[in-house]
Amino acid sequence: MRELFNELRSVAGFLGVCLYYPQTAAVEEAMPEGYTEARLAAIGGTLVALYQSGSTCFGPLHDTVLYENGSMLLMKKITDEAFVYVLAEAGTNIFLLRIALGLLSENLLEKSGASAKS
Amino acid sequence: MKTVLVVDNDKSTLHTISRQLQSYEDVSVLTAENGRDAVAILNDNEVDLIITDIQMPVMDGFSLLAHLSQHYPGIPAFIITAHGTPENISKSKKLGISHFFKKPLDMKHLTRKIIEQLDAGADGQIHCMSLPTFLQLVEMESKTCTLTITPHTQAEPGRLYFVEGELFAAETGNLENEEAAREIIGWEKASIFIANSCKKRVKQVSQPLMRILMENREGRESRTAEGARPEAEDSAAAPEPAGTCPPDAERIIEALNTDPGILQYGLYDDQDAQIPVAGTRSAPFGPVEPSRLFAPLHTPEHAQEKGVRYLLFFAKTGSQILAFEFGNIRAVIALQFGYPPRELIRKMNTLLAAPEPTNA
Repeated sequence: MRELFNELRSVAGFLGVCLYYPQTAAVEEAMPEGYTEARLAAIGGTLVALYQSGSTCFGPLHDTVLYENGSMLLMKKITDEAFVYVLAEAGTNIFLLRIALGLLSENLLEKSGASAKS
Repeated sequence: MKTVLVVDNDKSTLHTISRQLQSYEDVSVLTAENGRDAVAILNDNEVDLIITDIQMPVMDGFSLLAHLSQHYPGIPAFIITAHGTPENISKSKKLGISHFFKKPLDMKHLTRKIIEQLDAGADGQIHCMSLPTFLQLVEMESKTCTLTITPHTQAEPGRLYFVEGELFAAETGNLENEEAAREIIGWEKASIFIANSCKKRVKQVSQPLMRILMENREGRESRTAEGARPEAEDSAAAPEPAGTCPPDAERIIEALNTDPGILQYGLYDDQDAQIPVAGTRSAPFGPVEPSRLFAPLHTPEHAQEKGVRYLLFFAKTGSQILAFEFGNIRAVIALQFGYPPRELIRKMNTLLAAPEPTNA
């Protein structure tokens, strides 16, 4: 996760990244202090639910973003079993962040597969 | 290889239909136990035909069919119903609707129809679900709902109000009730949005729905015979919507109408009914239920969060959709490609944080 964090931190406003596995509510994270695993799992669950309700209303989605309390959470589906989300400041350039996350998605896919096996 | 998606919360029905179809080597079967799972499957798979039950938990068949009308209008749908009387099904067939299959299922008949449809493919006669078919279904299932119908040929939507399957009221532009219902039912291609509530409690349409559907069919046949153009093509410029607008909505509308990055938007109340808005950018989004969009945030953990919350969706179609919730008002906004949402969010935060102007 630290490598992913290092790749993404070149985007101004980026704060942290988390892999979330909805079936087990497990997380792998490189987030700021104060974010417990339970809290990150709860955030992941909410974002997956938002992703699903968005898909129902607007069809297939690339990404979902929640802006709340001066920050943003960008979520991308990697596989049916793994989602990644990024915490950033609300004023972050969303397009740059999406591009950076998109470029890393293959890497994330490999890493989520690897952690699922371990 | 053709793919059939079967949607039913009854596992034995799923199993029976799947087993029957799997005996055909060029047919593959996918299954889902509710509409939401079906939407997820549609997102990731090419599907040639859908067979769906109506009464299901989580997301029912009506919402699934409305979603199909908006996002997958080319996929034919067969409907399984436990409530269609033989008379209703017979009347439906007179209207040219052969999509209904009553439980308990006659598997031999259903399988034959499925194979016929798959063989007909894109050149077949049954395409997706027509509006009359959908309305028949609402009547058969005694559904209470409000349908917002958006024709593909013009911007002005129409509304049909049903209480326990009876058409209570209708409106589109300056037309009301029977006149509006005839106009709306005459739209040959339309997207359907369903809200599972109905504000109208007084029946204002005296004619039975079936009669209006019959008249529409007869009128269409006679126009075809005369080589006349469909009515929808003759429609004049859409009039401004009628109705009242809540005070909070007015300043939101003013901001949205002047924002250069907005393609179109819809404002909705807490019942998911669209708030009437004058202006060319205001349009409904088909089967959008804003309350459903925000439902995951309506939990005790999120109750303490303050300020306006925004959701941004990047659809695979290229659409960029921003939604926000402010009090009882929800907005759904299609942004121009590449328009930075933070600009609009900043603008709306400033607007909505400020008290409503009273003496400025």
